[in-house]
Amino acid sequence: MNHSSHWTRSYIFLNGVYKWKMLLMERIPDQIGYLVLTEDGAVLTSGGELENDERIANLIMGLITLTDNIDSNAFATNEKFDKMSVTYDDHCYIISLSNKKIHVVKKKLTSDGSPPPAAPQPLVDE
Amino acid sequence: MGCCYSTAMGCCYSFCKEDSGPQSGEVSERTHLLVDPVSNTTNILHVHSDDYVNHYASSVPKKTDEQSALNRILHETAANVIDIGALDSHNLEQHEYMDRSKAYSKRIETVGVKVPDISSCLLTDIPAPERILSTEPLPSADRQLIKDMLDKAVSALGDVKVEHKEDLVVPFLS
Amino acid sequence: MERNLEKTMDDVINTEGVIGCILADHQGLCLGAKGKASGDSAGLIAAIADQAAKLEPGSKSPIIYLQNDTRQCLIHRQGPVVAAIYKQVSS
Repeated sequence: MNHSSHWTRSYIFLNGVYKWKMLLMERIPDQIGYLVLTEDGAVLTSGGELENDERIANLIMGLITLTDNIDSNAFATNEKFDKMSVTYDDHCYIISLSNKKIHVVKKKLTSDGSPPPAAPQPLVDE
Repeated sequence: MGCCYSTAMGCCYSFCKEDSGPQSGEVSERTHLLVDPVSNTTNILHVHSDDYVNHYASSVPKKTDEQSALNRILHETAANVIDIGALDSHNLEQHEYMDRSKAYSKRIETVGVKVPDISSCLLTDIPAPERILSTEPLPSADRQLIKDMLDKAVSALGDVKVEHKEDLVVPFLS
Repeated sequence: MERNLEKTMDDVINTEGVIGCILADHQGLCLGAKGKASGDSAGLIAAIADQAAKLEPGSKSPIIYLQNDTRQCLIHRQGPVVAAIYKQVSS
């Protein structure tokens, strides 16, 4: 009895976290798709052009786990990065790790590689 | 036969208890709620198995072996039982989990053992990823820098050719 | 001549903030490295460029960019050449 209510509560709590996360990802300026993955690459939430895109998820997992040091002459042994981006002419993927989850956002870009001019969107309501 | 059976039952009943001492006087969870009609109306002694053992263990020598054998079974069974009820109390709250993980990693640090990373990753865990994800992917100066470098490198690579300096084949006898 | 490759790398290494650069061929063999860069990383940067290119096989090769508080790393492929540039925030 005690367990079931505990699990129900956890489930509702987690569900709330994911919905909240979805909202935050959706509000990133110029995003046209997003993925949130567990550390082993399972899709937790997704949306837009990356909705349920397990192919992209697997490729990105492969990319960030390919190595833990690109060049030992340039970087310290345990040096890690806050952000990785993969940039094409008119769009890009930005990847970061937070709370043991891999966050991927696909964004559109103008031809000169900068984000399209748009009214800045506040991330958090104040 | 009936006595043996009842003794065995008593042991099974009390296998959660470390020592099965006499408890005829006290009221406990093992006290019968209903008065046993048989023991009240007949002369046949039908006592609680624990009492039986304690009352008669000394007077009936051949039963002692049986008792110790049963005790052995009892202890073996107790040792093999996984108490699900007790396991429940080990459920960790999130903050307890964090405290323990902190304590363990601190201990590992002091010992100086390096726990190997199972999987490599280029990224570090950061708070508030939305902030980083909202930034521009690549400064345009850096984009230009690597594009220019590659343009020059590709054309330079095209220029790489073997420079003819001297004949590779020379006649030995002429 | 390879003198032009050398000059290309020298130009980059003299750019403000750049601490090292490396050029690799399409197989990940080192064509040259300057500054704080190891020729041993040529295979790795080619592998990273290849993996990133798989995201969209029809498109031109993307630029991979890694960043932390102090350093950045750029990786890009053009035709048969893969380049990496390592930068440090000059303070």
